[in-house]
Amino acid sequence: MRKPVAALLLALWACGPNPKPPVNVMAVIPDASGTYTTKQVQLTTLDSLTSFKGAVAQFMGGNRVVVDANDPMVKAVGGIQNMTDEQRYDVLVKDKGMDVHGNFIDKSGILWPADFHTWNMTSMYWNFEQAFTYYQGVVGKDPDELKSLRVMYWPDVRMQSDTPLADNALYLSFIRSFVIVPFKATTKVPLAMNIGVIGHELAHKVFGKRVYDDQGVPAPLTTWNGQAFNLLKSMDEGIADFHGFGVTCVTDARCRPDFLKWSVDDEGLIHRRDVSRNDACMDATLQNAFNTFSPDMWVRDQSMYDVGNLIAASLYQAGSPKDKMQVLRRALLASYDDSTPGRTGFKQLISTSINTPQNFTPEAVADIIASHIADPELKMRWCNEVSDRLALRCTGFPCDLMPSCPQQSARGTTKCPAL
Amino acid sequence: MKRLSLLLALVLAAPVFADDEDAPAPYDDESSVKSAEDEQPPAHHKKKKSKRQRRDDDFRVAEEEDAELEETMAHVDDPNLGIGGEIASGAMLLESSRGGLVDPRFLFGVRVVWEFGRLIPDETLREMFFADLGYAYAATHDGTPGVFADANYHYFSLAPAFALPLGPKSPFSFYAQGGIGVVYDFSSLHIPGSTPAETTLSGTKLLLQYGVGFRARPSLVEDDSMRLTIRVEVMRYVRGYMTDTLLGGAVGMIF
Repeated sequence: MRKPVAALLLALWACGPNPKPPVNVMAVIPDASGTYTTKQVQLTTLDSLTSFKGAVAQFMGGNRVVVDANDPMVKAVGGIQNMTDEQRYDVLVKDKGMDVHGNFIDKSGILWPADFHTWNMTSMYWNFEQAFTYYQGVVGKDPDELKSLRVMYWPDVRMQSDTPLADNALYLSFIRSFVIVPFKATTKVPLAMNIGVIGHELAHKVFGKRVYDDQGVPAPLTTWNGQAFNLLKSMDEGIADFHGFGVTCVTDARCRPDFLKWSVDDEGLIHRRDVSRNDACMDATLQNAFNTFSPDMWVRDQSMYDVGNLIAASLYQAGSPKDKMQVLRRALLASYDDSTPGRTGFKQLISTSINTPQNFTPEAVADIIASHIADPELKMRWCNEVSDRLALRCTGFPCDLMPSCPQQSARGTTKCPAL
Repeated sequence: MKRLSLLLALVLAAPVFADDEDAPAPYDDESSVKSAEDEQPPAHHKKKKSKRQRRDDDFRVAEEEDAELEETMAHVDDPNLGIGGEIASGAMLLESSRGGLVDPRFLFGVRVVWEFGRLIPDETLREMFFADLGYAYAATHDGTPGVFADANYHYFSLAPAFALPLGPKSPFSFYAQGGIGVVYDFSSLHIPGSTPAETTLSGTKLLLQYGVGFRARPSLVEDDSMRLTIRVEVMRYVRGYMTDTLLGGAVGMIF
């Protein structure tokens, strides 16, 4: 009798719940109206529930990341671009953090988060799983780059500043980590709970893996400037918003192109990042910034997201009619990396243009996407949308700069004024 | 009380003091003692001296018995009931679910203290044991105005302690404590929004408690029947698979 009692006490004392997947948990997720609410969900890839470690993500908490150009170890090698991935992680991640420890209460086999951070992490892990499922559907197989992702929960991140980052979720390619920094001013749904935001961040990972060959500090981002650099950054952001919207489609929310509105207060920002906006058009001011801003100016300016939104809105408007969105998503993913002669991808274009960035143009990027769309009608709509919204140099079709666009393509199908 | 025990001891010891002949024991004056030292004692003196020696021995035995009796009667003599109450507070370092070290929160608690060591007759041991029947409360409030959660932890425990006084009759002691109980965990998640929603849940988990502390119990009245208790302690609370640490103190009265 004594032994079973002692064993029971030890089990109650020492161990957290560690059920085998699928695990029934409660999480905060969007309902059919898009409103975030509590609902029972299944986590299907977890190896350890309380430490949130599983096949799609590995959480760690309390990390400290300091990016400082004056760091002696960074200066010694001439910058983080000259470090290996391992060196960057060792040098920049000052505190590697520790396991998170979700606090659950078991109610008839369903595990309920018992504090805020456990709710936040449970919901976020579910978001990672949904994003994985989304990319699985788009890629047609398991996306290897989205397995066992390193997630830093609530870290102290300082980027060339003494003030830690707040109210943000980021993918930091140079340390290959997703970071969910603490919120200070957020008044709505925390970013970690927002499935569109997690979908957006995972899109950066997929883009980086396939377009930059998973380089922590991609070469074009350290050597290019002007329009080529600005285009590359805006593509990354715009396409990430487009996929973020796509990930919302796998939930009860049924596709939320304005997914930021659940977490962001700024109405202007919500509108500017809404991938479904029909009034997304290049204007003279934005075009000037796009062509002339230095890399430093571009990444600090909202214009980077505005040009990205022109690409995202073009994709959305092209794919929406007749429900061709999934076809378009697959074509977009295929455009990332394709060495097929005459139909090469972004990666190949960047590679051939590494010393001639002037060849990396919006027209060339738009043409790569068009070349990967098999559906003629969809291809035409894409060419129409993107050429109008980004005010491309092709004023009529056929166009030498976009040879993949069909002859039936035309300018002026949108409400965007000609510049 | 001491007088009573002394009287009791004397009464109980009386038969030992009496001569065989039931006569009062005579006391020699100083000269007779002196002459006894200077001169060879006659035969009858020898008999007298052995009687006195026996009497001294009798007194010594009586004193020892008296002391023993006083000790064994300490629990009768004790002015304290050994029951008291304390108010506790401090910083509860809740184990952080987000992977930081701890989440410090304010703790408030009350407890009934029973110095059950007073059941033990031994005067030293009786000062070394006490137990707390305690309740403590800590809470967290985290989140954004749009989604936030309140977590309330109610700790109930019974924890015996072993105290080591700094000296005989010292009101100061170090103690080690361990106990068992339950923690009642009540949590609610709020999503105000356009259609406000609140999700509540509660549950109990096994609670284990251990730690060390320092205790002072200075007397407030002359007969020691009322004492102030002051404690400073470091206590670990293992609630299920989470472990919290209390850096706290308590103040109270014990009777």
